[in-house]
Amino acid sequence: MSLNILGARRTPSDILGRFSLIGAASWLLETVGMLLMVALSVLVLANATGRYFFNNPLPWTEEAVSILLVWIAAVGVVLAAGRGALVGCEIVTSRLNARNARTLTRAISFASALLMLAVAWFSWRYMQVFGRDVTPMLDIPKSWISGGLLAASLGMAAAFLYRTVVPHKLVLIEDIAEEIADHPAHEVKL
Amino acid sequence: MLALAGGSLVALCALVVIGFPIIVALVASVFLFLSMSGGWSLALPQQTLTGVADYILVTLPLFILAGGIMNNGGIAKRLFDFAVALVGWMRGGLAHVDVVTSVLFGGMIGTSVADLAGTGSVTIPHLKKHGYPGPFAAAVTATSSGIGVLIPPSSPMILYSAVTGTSLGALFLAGVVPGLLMGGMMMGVIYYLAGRKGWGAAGPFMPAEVWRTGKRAVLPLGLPAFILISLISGVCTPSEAGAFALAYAFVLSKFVYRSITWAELRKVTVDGVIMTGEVLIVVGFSTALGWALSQAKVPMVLAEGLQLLFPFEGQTLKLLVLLLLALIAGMVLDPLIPMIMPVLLPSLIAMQVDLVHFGVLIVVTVVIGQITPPVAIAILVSAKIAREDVVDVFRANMPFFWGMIAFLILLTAVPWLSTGLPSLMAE
Repeated sequence: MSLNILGARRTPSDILGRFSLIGAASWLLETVGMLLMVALSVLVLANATGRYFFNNPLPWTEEAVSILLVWIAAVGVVLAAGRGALVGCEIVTSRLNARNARTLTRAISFASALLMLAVAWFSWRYMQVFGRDVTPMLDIPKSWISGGLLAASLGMAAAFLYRTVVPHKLVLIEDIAEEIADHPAHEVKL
Repeated sequence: MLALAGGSLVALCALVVIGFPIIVALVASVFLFLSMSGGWSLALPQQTLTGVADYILVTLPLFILAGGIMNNGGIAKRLFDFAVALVGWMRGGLAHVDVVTSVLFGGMIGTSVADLAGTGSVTIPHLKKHGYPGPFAAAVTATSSGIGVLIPPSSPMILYSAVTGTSLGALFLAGVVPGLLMGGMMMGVIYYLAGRKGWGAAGPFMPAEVWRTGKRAVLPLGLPAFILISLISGVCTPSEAGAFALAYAFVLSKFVYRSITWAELRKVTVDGVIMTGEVLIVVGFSTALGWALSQAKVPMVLAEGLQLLFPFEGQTLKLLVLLLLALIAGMVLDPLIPMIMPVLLPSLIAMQVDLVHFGVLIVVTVVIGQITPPVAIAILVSAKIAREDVVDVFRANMPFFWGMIAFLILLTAVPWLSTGLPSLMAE
């Protein structure tokens, strides 16, 4: 697969290849997020079942679940940023014409990427200072927790940079309402 | 220090209005405060991680997932049929059915929009088909979807608990009576309007029909029944109730009704990850903002200001002023609770406000914000489902809007309505 993301002339296959790569990365992230969610659900259920049915709770699961929460947050927010679906207010952008709105959105995405890189830098420093401390139950380095914030901020920075390069339609609340109205849950067969 | 904090809050509002994602605006305001005040820069990751890794938040993905699975499992129609048999015989019958469906559905869905997506597409077409004006059908559905966030499980209450440290079990219990009262208030408004407009009953009351539809709805209703009973009896913690609820929803939809495919399950889970992810990160950055504001003693100044404005002992007026502030913010911001609670919490503690009581009040405020312009997500969604003009729906919703304002004042003035059940259970 040949990629030409640095510019010059892009052939249709380049574009297709790039979009496939983005699609593959998105699918991979979704799968990781899904597996994390399943793991979290199983651990909480196992702890509850152990406590009620076998009188044998699994206290270490609470620590594991807290770590999973951070990583689920990281994966979820990166997916949301990648889709341009982070919650925001469109009072100004919805009143601009298409060109100005796109320019403003690009500027916002770029500034957001810079801010997230700054968060990543502070998260990295935090990891260096406190990352070697260990958790009380699982006895694993706390960098397993703080690494989630680092991953989230780096992932969001990458997603915002992508959004700076590839213009996208703004996701307005009206769009969300339209999507819900077009896909009513009851259409699933009874 | 105080001016810096004020500047940070102004920057937060300005960035949100310009169009920055709320997450980015929160980070920017914390950065501004830290850089100008010379504060400890690593407080940002430290406070953010404290907020995100709070164990109580595990209930959020569990209930989001359980609700998503049940929503996709096509249970709304079963609940709707049961509600028709229960209250369809009353004057304005189908509109009452809409409210009762939301009460039943609210026991398994924790957000207003999920409630709307699940019930609106069933109830609105029925109301229109039976001669109710389209804007009214959309309005009653939009407002009644707020009942779902008062009756446990409730996503706003989980967030409130995480941000304020209030017992989630107590909050869930505290929402039960107000949730039922809100349903009663709406049914009262509908009964009055039905008398004036001449809306009749959907049919006679038939115990055999209640039995028939009740049997079809009994398994879905097992979920809210389990959540309520386990919380009231104190057998389960909220997170354990969430885990069992998820297992129940999965078995029911996948193996009993066979109404959800693996592909749909994957989609529901990924949607749950995305929703959970963004909300958790907002909670994390809000925790950092709350820390920054506390460093600048902003909440103390707010509390002193309120004392200066209302120099007497009673709390009701002070609470209403705080709720008015929250309501104004809630017209634009969503999620409101993690954004505003870091500002209000220390003031509430200084004023010795019962945090369980205020939790219910702020959730009702969130519901009002969702039916109030300019954003009004609940009105927008229901207007889209009904294919009606948004402004007409706003107009049709006015009786319910004023009803909600009166309901909020009542809950503020009579704390026992919220705190009675948790106090009773604690004894």
